[in-house]
Amino acid sequence: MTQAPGQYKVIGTPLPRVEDQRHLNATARFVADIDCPGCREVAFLRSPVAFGRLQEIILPAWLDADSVWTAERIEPLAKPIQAGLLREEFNQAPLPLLARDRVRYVGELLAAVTADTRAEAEDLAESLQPDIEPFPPVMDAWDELSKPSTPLHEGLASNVVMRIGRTVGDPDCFTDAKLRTISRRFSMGRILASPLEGRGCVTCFDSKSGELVVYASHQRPHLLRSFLAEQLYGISESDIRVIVPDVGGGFGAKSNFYAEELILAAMTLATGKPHRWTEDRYEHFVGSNHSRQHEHEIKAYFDGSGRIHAIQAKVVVDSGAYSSKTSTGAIEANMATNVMLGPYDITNYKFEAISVFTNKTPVGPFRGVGRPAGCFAMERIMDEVAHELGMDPIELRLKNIIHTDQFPYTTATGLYYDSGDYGEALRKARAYADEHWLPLRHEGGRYREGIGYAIYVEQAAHGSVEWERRGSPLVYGHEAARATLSPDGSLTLDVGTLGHGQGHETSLAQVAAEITGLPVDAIRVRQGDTARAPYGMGSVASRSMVMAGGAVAAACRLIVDKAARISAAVLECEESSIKREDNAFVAPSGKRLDYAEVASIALVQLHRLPKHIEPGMSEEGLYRPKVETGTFSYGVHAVHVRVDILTGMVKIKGYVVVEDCGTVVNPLIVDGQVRGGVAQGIGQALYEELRYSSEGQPVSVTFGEYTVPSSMEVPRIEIIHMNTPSPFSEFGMKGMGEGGAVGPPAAIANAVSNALRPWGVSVDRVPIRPDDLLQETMDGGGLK
Amino acid sequence: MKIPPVEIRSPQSVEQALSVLARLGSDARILAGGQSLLPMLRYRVINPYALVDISRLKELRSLQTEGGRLSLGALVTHRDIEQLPTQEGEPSAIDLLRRHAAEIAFRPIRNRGTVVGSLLHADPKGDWPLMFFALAAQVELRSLRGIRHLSLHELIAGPLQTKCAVDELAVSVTVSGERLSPLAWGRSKLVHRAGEYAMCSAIVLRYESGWECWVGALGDCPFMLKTASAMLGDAPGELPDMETKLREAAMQDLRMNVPELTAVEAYRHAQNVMDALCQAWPRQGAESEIQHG
Repeated sequence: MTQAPGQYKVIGTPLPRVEDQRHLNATARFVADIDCPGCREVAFLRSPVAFGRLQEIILPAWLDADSVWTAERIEPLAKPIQAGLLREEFNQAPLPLLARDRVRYVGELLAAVTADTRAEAEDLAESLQPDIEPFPPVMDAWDELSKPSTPLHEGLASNVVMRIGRTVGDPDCFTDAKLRTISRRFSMGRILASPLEGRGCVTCFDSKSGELVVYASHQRPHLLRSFLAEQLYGISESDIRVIVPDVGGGFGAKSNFYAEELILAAMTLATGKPHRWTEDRYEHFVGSNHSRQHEHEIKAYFDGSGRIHAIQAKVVVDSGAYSSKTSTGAIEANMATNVMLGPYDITNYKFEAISVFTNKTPVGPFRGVGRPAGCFAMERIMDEVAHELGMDPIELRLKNIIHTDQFPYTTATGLYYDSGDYGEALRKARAYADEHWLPLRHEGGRYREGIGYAIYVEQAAHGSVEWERRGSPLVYGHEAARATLSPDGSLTLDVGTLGHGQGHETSLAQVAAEITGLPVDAIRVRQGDTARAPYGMGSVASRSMVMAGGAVAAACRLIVDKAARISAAVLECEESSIKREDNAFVAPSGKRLDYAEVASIALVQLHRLPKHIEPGMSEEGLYRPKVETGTFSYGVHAVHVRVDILTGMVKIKGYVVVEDCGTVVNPLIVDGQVRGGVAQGIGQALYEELRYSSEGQPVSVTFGEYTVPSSMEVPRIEIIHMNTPSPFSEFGMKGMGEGGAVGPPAAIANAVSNALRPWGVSVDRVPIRPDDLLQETMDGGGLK
Repeated sequence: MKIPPVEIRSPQSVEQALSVLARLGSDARILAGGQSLLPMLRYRVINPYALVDISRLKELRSLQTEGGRLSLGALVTHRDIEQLPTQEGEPSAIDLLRRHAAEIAFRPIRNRGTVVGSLLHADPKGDWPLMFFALAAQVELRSLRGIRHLSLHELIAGPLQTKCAVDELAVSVTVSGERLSPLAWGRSKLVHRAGEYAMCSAIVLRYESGWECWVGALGDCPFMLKTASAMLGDAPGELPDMETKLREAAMQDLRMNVPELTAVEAYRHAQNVMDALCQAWPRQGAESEIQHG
């Protein structure tokens, strides 16, 4: 089943993004650009110590105590943040807004300081002296399991955030002596999202409306409002308005509910004065959620034909010091074990997912969430099995893949795959690699080339069934959109998702244009204002195109239906005989009304509107998918690398992605999502890692030490599309925002391992470090 | 990460600048291109009372080749070197300087960052200390007390430390005509990511007096590999024949100078020296290109 050509008029069209103009002209408005007379600028004092007892914060005598906010002043105004899962295995600990008694990571908030300018606020913050008695920190999650330290949080018995495990399928498989086995330990480094714009907020009080107005660089405006209302004393949700202006990237890092927004809101409520905080890059490194940092032990049970009978995996994640709301510290390990089996028809699975509190910045979601690590372990072990059997890595994968006639397919962990042709994607990737990259060249014994593959399935746009299954206290699975037709025939869409670089203002307009026949430039998409948009869940988990797209389609159908009803009444014919031609409704007589005329009749020409039709041209459409387990895009990444064995440096010579996200609304946007994701995945594979000293000091807090790849390191990325519509979503669309970042660590590690096979080098960790490659090549006798 | 409060002094002449420095002493820092100074201010690594902005002092922009010598004023930027106009019969190391400058960071940084500023910043990972150590350059320091000429050895006291006194202004760096005209040269800089500090950096020079292999980006300051250089001097022949011995000698030199180097680091630095040497080595036919990465 593939998307039929010509099935849609506007969906599938490569329209340039309408958002681009304001960004290219530098007229976009971010939180830091919000005009706010009399605004107090805020700087935070953050803990310089990883773990210790905060005795006191000493203020210099000359400092006006009013400008300093410590735990004592904030605690009466707002509650500490609690994040958890409704699972008995989950160990909950509160996240204090400002530290009191204990500090648990470098960067933890100690005090907020206000001044007329940020620079002055920083000077004041620097004059405060936190008196902290340091304790030895917990820095290694894996070791913590065998040699437990004193729990970091009061009331907890250990530093385990959550430990779950299960054996699915035939338990005898794991002791079957006839099967061969391979075990490996794999590691994935700690990274962070590093969007161009950091987080930030402006909080002010609108005395006219009585509202607390919060401008924030955030992915989920309505949830931010709900959480603020839940945490602040003495204000109801209806008295809070959250406005999200332009956002310079989020990638998941702006989806959690952090303390900073809440602290500023409390300060504004208490003083009546507006406040602004803009995260700087140092704060982003220590204060925004980190991601990944996995240790995996994985074991494959297989026979001589290459059929894999079972997989056993133990996943340990360094969750940092607290559970962030709403992701919790268990987000990475639980997701990695849930999706580990990927596209393979493997029914016997034994797993353990363990998340551990340490004295580091808390983890949260970042493009891929657990999937890059799950894919890394699974696809690396697939290559190791292929090598052991002397099989072609693609043949081994084809031997184990889920076939097209098996859809819908329920995995060992209960994921319900909707549609696809995984085998075809593998074959297309191999065909590309064979044509463009073979034969491999090994120049002068110095440069070794290798090709690596990785395949993944990308669960996206999860509905209520998936969130409930995970134990999320918030079970969401719908979106709403309001479509409003104006008397001039222009259409406004208010949505509760929040595009922050994904081009929703374009792609959602394309959906509306498809349904209504209005030209795209007559359609305006508005987002990011809780006073306008119906309650929505924002943009996370690659959900927006499916969910908001579905809601926009539903709202637009209501508009079209009503317009047809009005046209039939006014043009005096049966409603069923009305035909829509482009933006007009035509009666059998040939008389017609366009959208502008219909809207005028419904709004300001009521004398022409029959009484049995309600006035007004604004409709709210709701979307809740019939099957609520999510859509499942998939992709195969193939990469061609060259390794300089004398220096250990890796160069990517070619990269191709074969991807299938069902029906594509805007191919330019899909390609951009794929390429951006791959660039971040290349960063994780070769460059990016947050490192800590054994005392808990972060040692990579600038882009000099934490290197993200530039255009010099990211090659041209070829994309081959397949289009297998989802049977479970509107138009057959599938979420696809994260897959680009899932494949690269696995594919690149496989390619480098293949390049260096002659010396027995096996890449077991990312980022791949030149020193490690050189050392292993040296150990394998590869150097002169 | 805003810079702390700081006064800006903008002297109109070198003389004025010197008297400001004499008055302020250790309370002042000199601001030229600012490419190292401003990040240090933002991270509050330094917290001076005043910045003495010398960027208006046109006399410090001079870039002269007189009598074969090359003299660069304190405001000559990396970009100025990268774009030095080609002149017929120019000294052979001019092109070495051009290529070296072209690989420093990114263009916006090269547009502002100054050569002398980079020397005085004395970052062991910086690009210019290696070059001017290798070319045996002299830096002219001026103060109200007088003028001093220091070699790089005399000037650089360690990582981020120099012997430039608080009242002194480094006005220029000069390379002699003799040092500027090696018979052959080669250079190699290995970076993990474009625009970053060097992972390895080497310059190889050949004079009548013999070969010199210099390395930077490690230890406290750049140094010459003595054994490896000497080995080249008395064993002319085919490079591949002596490659193994040379590499071993280079690694020995490296580990003697920087004992904390790991085996792989020493190997990579030695390899990088070999790559620089390849460029400088007299040979027939087309240049074989070193493809880093």
